[in-house]
Amino acid sequence: MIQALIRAKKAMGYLSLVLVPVSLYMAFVYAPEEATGVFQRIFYYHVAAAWNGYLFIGLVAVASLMYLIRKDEQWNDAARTAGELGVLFITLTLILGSLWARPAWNVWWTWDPRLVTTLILWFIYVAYLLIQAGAESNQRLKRFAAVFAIVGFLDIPLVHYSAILWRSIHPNVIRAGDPGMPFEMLLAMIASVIAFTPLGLYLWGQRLEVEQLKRRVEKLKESLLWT
Amino acid sequence: MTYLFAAYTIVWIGIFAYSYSLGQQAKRLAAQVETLEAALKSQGEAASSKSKAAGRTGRA
Repeated sequence: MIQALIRAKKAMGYLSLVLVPVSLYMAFVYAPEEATGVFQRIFYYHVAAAWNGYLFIGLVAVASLMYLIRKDEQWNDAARTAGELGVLFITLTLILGSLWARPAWNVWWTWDPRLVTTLILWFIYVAYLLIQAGAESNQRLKRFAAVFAIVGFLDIPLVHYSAILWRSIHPNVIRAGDPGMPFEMLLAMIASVIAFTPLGLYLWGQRLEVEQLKRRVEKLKESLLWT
Repeated sequence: MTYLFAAYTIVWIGIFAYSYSLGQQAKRLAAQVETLEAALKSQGEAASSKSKAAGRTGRA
């Protein structure tokens, strides 16, 4: 699977080159401007970044589970690299959300349940990356990191339902049956999400390739020492 | 408008910077792989010629 992802990297890159301009056109030209102002267009990439964040954190959990079952280092590499991307996209989500909140709510940050649970998610996976960075060849620590990542994934449904279950001022646009926005805006949001998915997979392919090269260098150094 | 511009700029700078740093790392590592493979090959060749020479001296 990991080899297939590295091989698909180029295709994902080309797909992004086509889809990203389309998503920008949809967000800036096709979607109507809301009465609140032009800043509302931040929302399209905010949702797309959040989607990629969820996707990669989901992949961390799946790869961690595979690592616990198969004890294959490749799955740990996949989990760690997906974790990096998850943190990158959750960071972008938080920054974009803050840039939207300033003109909309007149504050950069508020202790809203959706925002707090997202920040907790970010802290969980930053901690996960720190554990992985300290693990090196410590198998026990790697197994602990895998369990930590799987448990941390439980925060995602909490993030999603926080705006429904608790009193929240965060817009809750993704609801079953009712999108809560005009059709054109919904299409622009879907276009951004579709464009971000291959872009994220392209970056993951790039990151996995670096990891594979690192392993190759290590192996070659070892064989040079022993010959 | 400022917030919108800042938001999209941050996204693209973030993604390009990450992708560029990965590309640079891959390039550096690929060069290292090439150097190590060449070193391993020359070490192997040196070892085989040494054993051949030792074999000839043994027979003599």
